[in-house]
Amino acid sequence: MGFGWIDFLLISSAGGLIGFLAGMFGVGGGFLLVPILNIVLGIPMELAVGASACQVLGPATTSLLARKVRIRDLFFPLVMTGGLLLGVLAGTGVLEHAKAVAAISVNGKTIIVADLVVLIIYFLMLISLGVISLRSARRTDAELSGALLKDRFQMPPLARFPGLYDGKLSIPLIAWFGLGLGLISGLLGISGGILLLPTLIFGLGIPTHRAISCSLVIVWIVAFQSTVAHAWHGNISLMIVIALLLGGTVGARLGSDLNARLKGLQLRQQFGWLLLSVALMIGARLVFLLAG
Amino acid sequence: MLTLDSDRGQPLNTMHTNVNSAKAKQMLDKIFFIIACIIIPVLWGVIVNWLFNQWQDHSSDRSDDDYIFPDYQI
Repeated sequence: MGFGWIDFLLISSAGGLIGFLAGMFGVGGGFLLVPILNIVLGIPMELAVGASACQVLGPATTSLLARKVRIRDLFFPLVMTGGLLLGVLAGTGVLEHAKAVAAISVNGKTIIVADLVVLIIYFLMLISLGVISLRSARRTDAELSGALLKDRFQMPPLARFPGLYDGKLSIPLIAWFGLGLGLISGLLGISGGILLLPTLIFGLGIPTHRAISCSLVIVWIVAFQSTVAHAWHGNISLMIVIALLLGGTVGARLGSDLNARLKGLQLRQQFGWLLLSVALMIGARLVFLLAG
Repeated sequence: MLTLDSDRGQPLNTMHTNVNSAKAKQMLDKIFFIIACIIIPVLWGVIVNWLFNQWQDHSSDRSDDDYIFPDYQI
């Protein structure tokens, strides 16, 4: 697939817009990037997923360097790394399988299987996260801080993570969570922060500041693994990645400046509507694919 | 004993060597591509971080400790 300057500028502008929204809401933005690259700009799904996974390494590296992550922030991510790797391999494997099947015929229409699989999973994930975000927008940070998973599911062996978590955490559960996160990351091209942070903050009750440092390390690791896996399968176009990096950096900076001026509750509500809007766009695309 | 490929008239062991070297080159290209896919965004991230540090040093006297990171809101 060749790209001209117009394509480069369009992709870069899309990256800038998504970077702005991502910076404003404090998320990676991969969940916006892949649907927009595929649905709006018509980039093949596997290239959209690969480019999204690869470009995350840029902002993730900047964030890691800016945060000055400490050694103790590495323990939890390292326990998760094995699960992440297997998940990423499984996720890219599913995408490759969908790519190999190529197309199926539904109601006399030819549908690209990779598009269908990825869009359906995105649709379900964004609807769920949008509803959760809108529901949490009605509650204050203090109400949300009650950890839902704390001291539950204590499957041995257990481990302590000083400075991060008060009690003990089950190593198999951390690894399985990593497996799920890696699977979604490999298949959808997202860094996983959108699922990871709520789990760390609201699920385990880890203080927000520590959870973000820990999440950044995990995001970097999963982006690294996803990039290698997608590059191996030829799913990455470096031109798309460079266009996204250029636009995304400027957008993210402007967005994070706006973030500082908005309140948490307001942001959660707007974030919820943003997720539901993207889900609606994907839903419309799925209806068009299947019935149109 | 060497056998000849009927179409090209080349000894088979020479053909195997050519195929192997083509595969090795393909693999090497793939590895370089993977390394490029890692290095480009990471290098970009390092440069952006350096630029922001320079900009902060010049634009204000605010130290790193005073910098408030934008919180994740979900």
